[in-house]
Amino acid sequence: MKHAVRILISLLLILTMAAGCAAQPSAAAKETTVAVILMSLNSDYWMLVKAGAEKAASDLGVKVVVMGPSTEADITGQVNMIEDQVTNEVDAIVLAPSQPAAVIPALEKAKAAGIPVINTDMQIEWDGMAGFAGTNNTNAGKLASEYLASHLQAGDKVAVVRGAEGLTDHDQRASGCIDGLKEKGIDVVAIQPANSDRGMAVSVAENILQNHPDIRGFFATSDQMALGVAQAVKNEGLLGTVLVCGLDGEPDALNAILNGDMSATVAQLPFEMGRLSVEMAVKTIKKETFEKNVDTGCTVVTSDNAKEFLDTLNKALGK
Amino acid sequence: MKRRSKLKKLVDQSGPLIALLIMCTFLAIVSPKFLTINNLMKIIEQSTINGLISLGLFMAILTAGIDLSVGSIVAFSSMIMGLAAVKWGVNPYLSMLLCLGCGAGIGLINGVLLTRLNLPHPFISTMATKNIFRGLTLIVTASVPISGLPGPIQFLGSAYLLGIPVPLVLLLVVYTIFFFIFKYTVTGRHIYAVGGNYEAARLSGIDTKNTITLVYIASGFMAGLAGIVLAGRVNAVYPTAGIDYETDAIAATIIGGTSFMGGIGTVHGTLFGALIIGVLRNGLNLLNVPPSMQTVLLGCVIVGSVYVDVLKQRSMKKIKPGAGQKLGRTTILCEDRSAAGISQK
Repeated sequence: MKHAVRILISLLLILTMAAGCAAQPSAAAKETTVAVILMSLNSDYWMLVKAGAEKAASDLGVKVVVMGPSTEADITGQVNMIEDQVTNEVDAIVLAPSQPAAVIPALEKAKAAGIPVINTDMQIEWDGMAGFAGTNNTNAGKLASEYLASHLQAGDKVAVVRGAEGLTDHDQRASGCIDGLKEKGIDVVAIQPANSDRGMAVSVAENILQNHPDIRGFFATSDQMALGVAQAVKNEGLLGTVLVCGLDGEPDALNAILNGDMSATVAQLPFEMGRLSVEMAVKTIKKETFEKNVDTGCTVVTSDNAKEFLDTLNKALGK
Repeated sequence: MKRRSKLKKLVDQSGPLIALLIMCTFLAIVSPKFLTINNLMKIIEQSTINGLISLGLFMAILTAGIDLSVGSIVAFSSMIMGLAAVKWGVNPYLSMLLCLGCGAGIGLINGVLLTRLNLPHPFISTMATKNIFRGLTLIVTASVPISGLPGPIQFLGSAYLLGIPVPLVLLLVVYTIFFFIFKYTVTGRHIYAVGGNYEAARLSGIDTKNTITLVYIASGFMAGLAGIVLAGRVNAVYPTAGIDYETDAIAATIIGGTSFMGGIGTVHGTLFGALIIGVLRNGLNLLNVPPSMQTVLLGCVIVGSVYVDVLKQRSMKKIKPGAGQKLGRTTILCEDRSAAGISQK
């Protein structure tokens, strides 16, 4: 029986570890619980949503459990999480879906179990949604076009570096910006995807700079890509001549703006997304009426207001 | 003495099952929602995709190979199925056959790259196809997901038969078929032989090249089948499907007792491996343990289960440990491991 004993020992060790890090089982006194399921928890952006959600929770006196898969690519992981929180019989779910189309069957299960769902960040086309709180991406793109246009003239050339084709958020940001630029007579010479990857954005921007040496500005539909683009611009010694505007408002990008490595970003307000979506969830639980579609807004951040914006964020993240 | 050694043999071979039962017991105590019928069915539904892909990886690893392209096969085949059924107006059943065909076809490419073009190792050939078909998926579909799949396609992934989830039935049927193939058919024995000792198998007249090609076709087919289940589960096909699927599949195979050296492993072990992973993730989700910690624990489970195997191997050897002998290099023509141990050089 030596082997059975060995199996048992190994497993008991493992399970003791599991016990050690397990959160409290949900058998506690029935406190109103909202499960906030995000695309991931691996960036400051999501940590800000988490901070906002937790602030709303403490203000309203409810319990909030914030979770997300290890990477945004783990779509089935997120679907499983939704199902498991339905099994846990939470009072409401707030969801930022990595792949809107893929979560709908799981949301139907939540609906069947009587659990309301509030959508945040990336919008899902589902008629059972109790509300949405997030950035109007088209408006965000437009803000970027206004920033670029205010520093350029008609006839100047601009390129757009965007997330992978087919991602609705990036589609809307790009078109919002492109439409705005066209109105001002600015020439959009290239629209290239860099798949939200910083490294890829460097290569894409380098290629664009090669093909259009007289380019005057870039808009990247996310800060990660903007930082890559800014790197390429810096490598060519064109900092200051070529504008680089991102979108998101990540601390990395804000620091780059402070250092003069990047021109501007259209900052989303993830803290507000977390806060407002949890507020809406609680209102739904209490059967109060509220505005169903909330634009959490954006702030254009440049070197003028970067420092104070960053301070606000760091405070929210508890840094 | 005989009865004791039979029981011992049973315990030896049921390592993964015992681990699964212990894990379930623990989780049932700590999480009140775990042991409900509803949740247990959820676990099966959540484990089916990995369970199917793990069978493919099991076969590949059994031949001392590997199939890294399974995730891309899931994406490509399911996208073709979605395009066919929703955009091109193809009959749903035909679309599903198309999905399976794509899977098997890419598997065939893997096999050919390995056995005819003689690429040095399946790691290389399947890494190549992994990239090629991930890229092709994005190109063919312009990266747009497709929803609203017809009923017949959703059946395997989300329907219920008399209250039993169809994925459970599918999993049992598929695993039973493969259990019989590997235990009772010539092809099954050939696969074990090729994995155990390629040269000896070849010299004894086994068509090693075609056996290996068949393994990769089967692996691709399983990935295609997993693609249908995924499509049913989320009622959509999307180009970023299947990313990192090979990781959990390899883990399930390893936890289930399959050796990377080839020639050692069982079909039922792989099933328990897949269920262990499903139970782990589900149980920890219910306890609100973050996925990062879940991944750490999964790694520990892998170490634990392989270590137990190492101990078992050592005690099977009749010579001093550390004598530099490699197990699994003998031609294993039967599943009975203790017999193989005795005939060890």
